[in-house]
Amino acid sequence: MIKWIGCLVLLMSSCFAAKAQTPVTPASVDRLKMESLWLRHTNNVAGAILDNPWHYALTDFEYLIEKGEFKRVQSGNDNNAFRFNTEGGGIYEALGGGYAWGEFHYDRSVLRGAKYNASLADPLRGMPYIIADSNPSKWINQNYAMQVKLATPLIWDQLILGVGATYENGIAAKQVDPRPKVLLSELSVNPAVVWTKGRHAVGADFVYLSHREDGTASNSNYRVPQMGWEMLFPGYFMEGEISSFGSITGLRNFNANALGGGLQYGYVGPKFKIIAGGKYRQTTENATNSYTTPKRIGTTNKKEWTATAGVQFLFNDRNSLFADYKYYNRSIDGIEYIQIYNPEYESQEWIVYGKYIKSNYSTMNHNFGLDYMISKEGRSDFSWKFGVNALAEKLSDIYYLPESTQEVNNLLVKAYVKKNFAFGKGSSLLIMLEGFLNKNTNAEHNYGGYYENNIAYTQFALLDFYYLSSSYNGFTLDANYTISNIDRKRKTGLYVGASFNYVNPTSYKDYFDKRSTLVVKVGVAF
Amino acid sequence: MKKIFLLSAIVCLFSCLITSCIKMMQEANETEKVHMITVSYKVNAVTGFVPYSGEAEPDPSFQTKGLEVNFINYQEGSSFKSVVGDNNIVTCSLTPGVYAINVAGSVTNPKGTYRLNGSSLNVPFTKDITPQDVVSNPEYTINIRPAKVGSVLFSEIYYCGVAPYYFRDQTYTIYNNGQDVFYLDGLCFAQLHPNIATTNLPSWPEDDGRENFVYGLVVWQFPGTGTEYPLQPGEAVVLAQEAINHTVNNPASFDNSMSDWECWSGNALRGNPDCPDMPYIFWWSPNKMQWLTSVFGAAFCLFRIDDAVVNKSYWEQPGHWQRVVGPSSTRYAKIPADAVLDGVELLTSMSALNMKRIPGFVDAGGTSVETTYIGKSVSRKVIGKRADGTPIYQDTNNSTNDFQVNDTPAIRRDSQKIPTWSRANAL
Repeated sequence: MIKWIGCLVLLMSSCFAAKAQTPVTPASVDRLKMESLWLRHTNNVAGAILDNPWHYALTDFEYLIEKGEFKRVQSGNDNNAFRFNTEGGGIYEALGGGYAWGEFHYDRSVLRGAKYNASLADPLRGMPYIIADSNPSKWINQNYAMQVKLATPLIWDQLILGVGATYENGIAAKQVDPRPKVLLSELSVNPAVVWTKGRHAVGADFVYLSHREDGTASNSNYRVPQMGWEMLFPGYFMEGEISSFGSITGLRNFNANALGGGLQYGYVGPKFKIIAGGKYRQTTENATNSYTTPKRIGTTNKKEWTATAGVQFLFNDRNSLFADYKYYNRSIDGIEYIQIYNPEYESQEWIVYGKYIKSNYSTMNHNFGLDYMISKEGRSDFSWKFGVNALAEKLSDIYYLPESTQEVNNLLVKAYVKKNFAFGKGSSLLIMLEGFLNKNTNAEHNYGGYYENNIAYTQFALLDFYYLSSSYNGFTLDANYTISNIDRKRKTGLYVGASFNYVNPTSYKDYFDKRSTLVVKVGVAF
Repeated sequence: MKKIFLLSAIVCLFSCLITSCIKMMQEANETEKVHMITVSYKVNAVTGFVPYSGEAEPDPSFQTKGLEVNFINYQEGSSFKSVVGDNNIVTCSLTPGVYAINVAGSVTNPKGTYRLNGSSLNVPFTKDITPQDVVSNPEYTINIRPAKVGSVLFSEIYYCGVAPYYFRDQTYTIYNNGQDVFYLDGLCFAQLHPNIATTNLPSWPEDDGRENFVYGLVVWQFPGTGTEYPLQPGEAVVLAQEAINHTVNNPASFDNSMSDWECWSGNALRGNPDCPDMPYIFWWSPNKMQWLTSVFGAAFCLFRIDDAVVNKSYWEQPGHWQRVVGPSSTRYAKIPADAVLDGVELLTSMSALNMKRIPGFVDAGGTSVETTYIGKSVSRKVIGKRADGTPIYQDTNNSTNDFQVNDTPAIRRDSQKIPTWSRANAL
């Protein structure tokens, strides 16, 4: 079903392409997204009308190769992925100036050497209540994701209504015992409104999200017992045999709901545009271990605050300066339950006697960026772009009793230059070189749990701490070559690209080695 | 009209989703941060019937003051120790959670030396419990049963089988660890229910009270008229599912053909005709293929009911058997607590201690070879030797402490002696 919906999105994109500003290239879409402040800095879909984006459509196939040991413990160390991406849309005249945009992604990944996860398609998404095992495992993951954004034209010259929706469906299969087949689906809807008067605009949006994910870690070879851990927090767990007779039942059923909303303000001056906004989202997720007699393994209660501000200074028709700031605060409370199984024939259920917040994971970011763009008159792309970005991140995790704490402060600085070589109207070459440097400024880890010699602590929790508190540097080199106007109507472009990323850790060298990623892609732009 | 109906349905569905979402979030927001709590519990030694409510009169001849109490949270891997104080009340500061309360110790009075071991499983502690709360509420009481330090015990059990899926070599060794002769005649050997460790414990009728009985799936009985089968100190008898040289069938197995009895269930194609069969006197639904106990680990006890003639007809009398609450018609042998001489709880793995299924007066702990079909056995730890070289085994009524895991099973390990009447002498 979702494949057909994806194809529909692709056709919609093609339809929009008929109205596209030519030539459409990766560089012109990059510039378009840079200048669309409402879409870039907020979730308010209605704000797209104020951004007034022109039509475009991109469709590409990607192949990814990733190797190296500098990674989270639960990530693979030798990965491949095949991806299909399509996105497109813009202001649509047939809708009276309304906005329609859609995207579809298909991803098939093969991860190798992943450890300490036998429950989740994405073990790094902030859900600690999983089953972990130490077997280096291959995972084969497939994911379909689509998103639509719709906005009305200006109503009564001052009101815009919009709605966004996402749907994601995935399957992830571990290939080594204990092996779950994880199924997930996620749906979100995001209605929004903008009221505008003169140069000012205020907006509000609301979001509802539902995420379901489940899978059962089972063994295909019953003669080899599989030991594992029912995780509560890094370094806190219950160890046991994962089987129907063992102390750990392999099933994990995750059910998350989220509600949130945001407020935005925008101003368009003669020489600058500004957008500022704040949003809040609460996501509560329950993890249980059975469909019929569920035991509550744990609940996460995630609260996210985000404040953003972005400004574009228009020096003249050719030169723009962008300044962005984003503050992000995430706090996840880990709730554990005190419960006992009532075996009486008439009831047979887990009875909850109490619940407590036993842990907290906190993340706080300050992100500041400056970008300078030089473009040529009459072209939709740019010729030069320079930028710097600084991200100060603070991670604080705590398990309250017996107390363990972990604090990590990092400062990540990036600088890039992009040059778009235009060879007449027929082709262009976009080259990007980015260098980055992460400096760990503080790292503290105090373990007060009961398992300091257990490998689920030494090889999982502790190793992950080393990764998170690593200093590193590296670079990304990206090149895209586009041949425009390859069709008779001279509206279609073909592009090929390659991107190489290299990361070199400068601390904990006994544990980590470099990591590199190569992505090659071929696509068409309408 | 259709559009209005469709729109109303969408609005209703969305409202339901949002309402349930808000309720889920409110519940999470109302949760308080964990903190230490102080709990008190009463430890009573009882010798009579304990009703289902747990309200039983303690026996004044057994004081529990001074006994060590261990509060174990298996999920977290934590334990907190304390000592029983005045008024038989123990107080401990711990984190909220589900605990097993283990009491261990012994007393000597004019009747002899008694173990005062006991455990209460799956006790939820979520708030402070004061000594005043304990006095006014019998819910906060653990009743332990004094058990006379006996002589006969399980010294070794081989239950897990050996690859590939060979389980006919299950073997049980019973040993006289005391100073006096013990007559095996009429002694009962029971496999207890449930067969596999589980958190889903059976529910027994309230009339049986609380931990007054253990319930047998199968009961075997040693033959003899009273003094035919003396077991001298340091001597052991061996029981087998099938007493043959198993290496013929599976080279990785072992030879237990010299066993004293076979626990034979009636399969004419199986067994050693030279080895006498031990009769079963209770088995509601016999498996005529073989007596196979769980290779994941079953639970066993030795018992003798002194004031009754225990035979097949005994277990047919009402009151001597019980059914689990529910539709099942399966009967289980009702074994009085004070008749139990020794018991061992075998677990799928030591991490399954939270799945213990027999009361603490039978075995306050549990033991395991950790997995199936690996050819290992569990045996008691040796804590001394007699002058004749026979072992003295550790027996604290807690198999977690008392047992060790062996790479291979053995017949009469640690220089145990063979009884003079044993057929093993002629082999």
